[in-house]
Amino acid sequence: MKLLTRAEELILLAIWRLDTNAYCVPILDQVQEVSDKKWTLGSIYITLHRLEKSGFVESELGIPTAERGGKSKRFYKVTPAGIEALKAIHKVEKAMWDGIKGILYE
Amino acid sequence: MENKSNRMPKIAEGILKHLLPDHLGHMAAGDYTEIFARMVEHEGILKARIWLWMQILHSFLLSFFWGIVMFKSYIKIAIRNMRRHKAFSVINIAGLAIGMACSMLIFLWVQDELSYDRFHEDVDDIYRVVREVNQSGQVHHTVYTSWELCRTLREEFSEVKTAAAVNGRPRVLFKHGEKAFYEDGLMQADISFFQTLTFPFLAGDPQTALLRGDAIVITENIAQKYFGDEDPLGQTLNWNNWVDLKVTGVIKNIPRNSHIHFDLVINTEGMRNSWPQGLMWETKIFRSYVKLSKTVDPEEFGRNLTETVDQKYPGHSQFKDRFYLQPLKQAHLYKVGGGGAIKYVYIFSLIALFVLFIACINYMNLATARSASRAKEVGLRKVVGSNQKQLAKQFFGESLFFVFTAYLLSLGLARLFLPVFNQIAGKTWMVMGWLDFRFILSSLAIVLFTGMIAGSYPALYLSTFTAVQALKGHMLAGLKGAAFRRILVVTQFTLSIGLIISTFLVHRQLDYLRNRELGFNKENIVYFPMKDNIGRNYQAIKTRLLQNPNIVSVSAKDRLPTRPFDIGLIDWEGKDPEQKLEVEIPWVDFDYFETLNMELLAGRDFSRDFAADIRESVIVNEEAVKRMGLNFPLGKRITFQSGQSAAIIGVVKNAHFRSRQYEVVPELYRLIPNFNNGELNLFGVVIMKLQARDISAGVSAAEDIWASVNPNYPFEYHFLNVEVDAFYRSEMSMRTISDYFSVLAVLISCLGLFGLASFMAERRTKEIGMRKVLGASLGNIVRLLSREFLKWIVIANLIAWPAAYVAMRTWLQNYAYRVGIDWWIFLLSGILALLIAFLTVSYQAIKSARSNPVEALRYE
Repeated sequence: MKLLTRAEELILLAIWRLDTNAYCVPILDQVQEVSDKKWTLGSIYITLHRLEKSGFVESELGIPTAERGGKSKRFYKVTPAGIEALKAIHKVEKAMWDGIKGILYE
Repeated sequence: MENKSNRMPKIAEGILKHLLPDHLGHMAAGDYTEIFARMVEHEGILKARIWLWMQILHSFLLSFFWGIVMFKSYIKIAIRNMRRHKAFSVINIAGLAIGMACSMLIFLWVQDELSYDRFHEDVDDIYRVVREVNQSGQVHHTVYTSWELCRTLREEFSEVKTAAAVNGRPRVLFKHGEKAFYEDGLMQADISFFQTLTFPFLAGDPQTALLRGDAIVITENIAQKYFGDEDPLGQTLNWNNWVDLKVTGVIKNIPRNSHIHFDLVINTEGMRNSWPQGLMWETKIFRSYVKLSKTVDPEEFGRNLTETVDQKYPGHSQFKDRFYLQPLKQAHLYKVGGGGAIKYVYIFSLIALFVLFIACINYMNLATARSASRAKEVGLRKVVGSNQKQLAKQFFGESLFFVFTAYLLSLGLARLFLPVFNQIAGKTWMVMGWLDFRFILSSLAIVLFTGMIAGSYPALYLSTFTAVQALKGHMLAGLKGAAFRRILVVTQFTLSIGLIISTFLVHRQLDYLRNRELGFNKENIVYFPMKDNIGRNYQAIKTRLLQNPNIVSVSAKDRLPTRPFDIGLIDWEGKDPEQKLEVEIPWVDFDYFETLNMELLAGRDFSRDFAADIRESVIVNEEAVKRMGLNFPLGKRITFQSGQSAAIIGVVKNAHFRSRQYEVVPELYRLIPNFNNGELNLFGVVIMKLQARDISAGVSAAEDIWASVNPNYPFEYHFLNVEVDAFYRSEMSMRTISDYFSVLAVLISCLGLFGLASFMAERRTKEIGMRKVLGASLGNIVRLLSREFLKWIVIANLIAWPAAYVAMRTWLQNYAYRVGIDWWIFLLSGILALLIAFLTVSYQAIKSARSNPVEALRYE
């Protein structure tokens, strides 16, 4: 299985954390906050699109609200396959980090 | 929450909608709106806006990047294609570039013709007064009116803002200190002239410049010529040794795109003393310009003017005159009463369109023919996952790429040939308006149009094939395109043959006009003005001139033969009282007809042996006899308006002194009774016929005599043939231009045919090879390959003939004297086209017919 990219991993985790409120704006906020970098909405969309195509997330449209100019939100949820993918990448990372000295704790 | 300030800008929303993929559209718009609103609230509208546009820019660059990647691939394929079919591409691009360059040049020319007189302020409200003269049924239009008419306009019509009359003066001497020159560009005008036509002033005040009686306004050129670097304002200029004038204004040189040209302007009022009749109703020599209030309807104003003048000034004209207004913008292109250069604007625009059209057809033709062989590429692209939209994009893009290359080339070509074209068109000043908005826009439109049309066949048709179809069945595509190509070739040759026929006829007509018997001899005739003391001593000077062996004969005339004469009404015995005949009355000296070799058809020439000839004899031309309806003209008495009467003693053959586009007018020649006369001093000329073998000896003899009689004036002389040939200069340049363009049209058509023929031969290489193996001769093969093309051209002939016939008949109607439209011209043009086409095709045919069949058969 192909490993997740960094962006995919971050976004998947953000969706997981946000739980029922996982639509694009909070996802953006979340990843920006964690990574302390500016992200464009476009990069979020591209990643989400790819994740959805791979079956790692699924989405459904919410009810249109006035604060969004009458446009609806699209809520995302991590699928079991997504969870597997997260586990896989975590395993790889963990294995890579295991026993590494001199970087994190001096 | 929903308030204006934190709403996303509409444009941004629109752009986003385009940039984002469809499946995202709705939701993404919501996301952007939400974040934008939040940022407005927390960080201010400015930051929110910056953020939004940065986001858009980012996505835009990203999509652009992927576009470029694909674009690079398309360009690469296009260039590879170009390389692989070098001859083909060269023909294709060169043909298109030549066509575009042609139409660009013509476009420039047309644009220049249309730009005349636009530089005046309020040009839309300025008009020229036209007088329609009705001489007992014979109607003609003229811009020459009385000064009184203009005064009436100025003083008696509240609708008129300003009005000014002008009158061009004959060539005259100006002096400042040592500097003395003859000036052709002297004009007299009303004080209000510079308010009506706003020629820009460099010095002086346009309102008051012409106020003083001795004021003169000059152009920068004149100022430079007489005063050099001195300040011209307030300087004096001596006018013809008569009076000193004061420079009160300097204007910019008259732009070349002005219909009226002059170098020096004096005040009309000066005429009150020297020639008071000149300002009365009877003298119709002024051109009047009026500026109306915006709300006035010019047509109604014209009717009103005619009525008012008829009522208040009965007898202002001997004829029924009707006044109307011609917009100033039309003054250059429209001759009053119909015709004018506007017809060339139309004809040339049409030719430009034809040439461009032929070039485009060519391009389309070759492009479609070639694209058929790219069916395999289409198939392969489909196999690897290209969809129809992408293929269409590719073919359109490729076509645009080709066309754009041709466009760049054509810009270079147009620039290169502009000086040549200028020279032919007689417009030495025309420059390329690279930055001209209309020019760029229209040429780009042409590029896009051609590219789209040419690309549409492969883009829309080939791309619909399924991969399998495209890979195995490219013959299908070739056949389908053939019908389309056939139509295109026929259209192209129809236009070309039409142009050839027109060129032939234009040539014949203009040659006919040029070579029509002039009725006089224009060679070796030199004339000089009857200035100052010349008139007073005319007889003595004539005797002295004739003593020189190089001078054959000497005569004189009141005006140049090529200029309008005095016009008057006449009466004669047996005239129908209803009939009014206006004739020209040239005043001449003895020996006039002999000097110009004009043939007397009946009666005798003026003779010194008959004392009565001086006042009581007249010689008429054929046209006058015809119009007067006389069977036996000799001895008939004619009464002039002045009350004098004279008997016809001779009839002279019609002579075409002015452009032969017009009919000859009736002329009544009379003898000049007195050479010491103010008008002769201004307009009169001494005409000499010189020995052809030594013209300069004759001229220098005249110069010596001049110097002894007229020490105050520099000598000047002119050749009559130069003057006469000038009438045909514009038509000759038109002829040259139309020659060039029809040759180009045929050339481009042949390029196309050549390309098509070579393409066909290439496609049939195998067939030709087999035929040769089976024993076909060279002739067989050539016939096989050229037969089809020739059939198309025959069809094109059949379409072109009637169309050209109708067009040329309409054109010929402009001429009073015209050639017949002979059938052999059509036949000849047809055969010519056929011949050219055959040569083009057979070159290719012979080449492939002579090739070794073995080569042909193993070409795969």
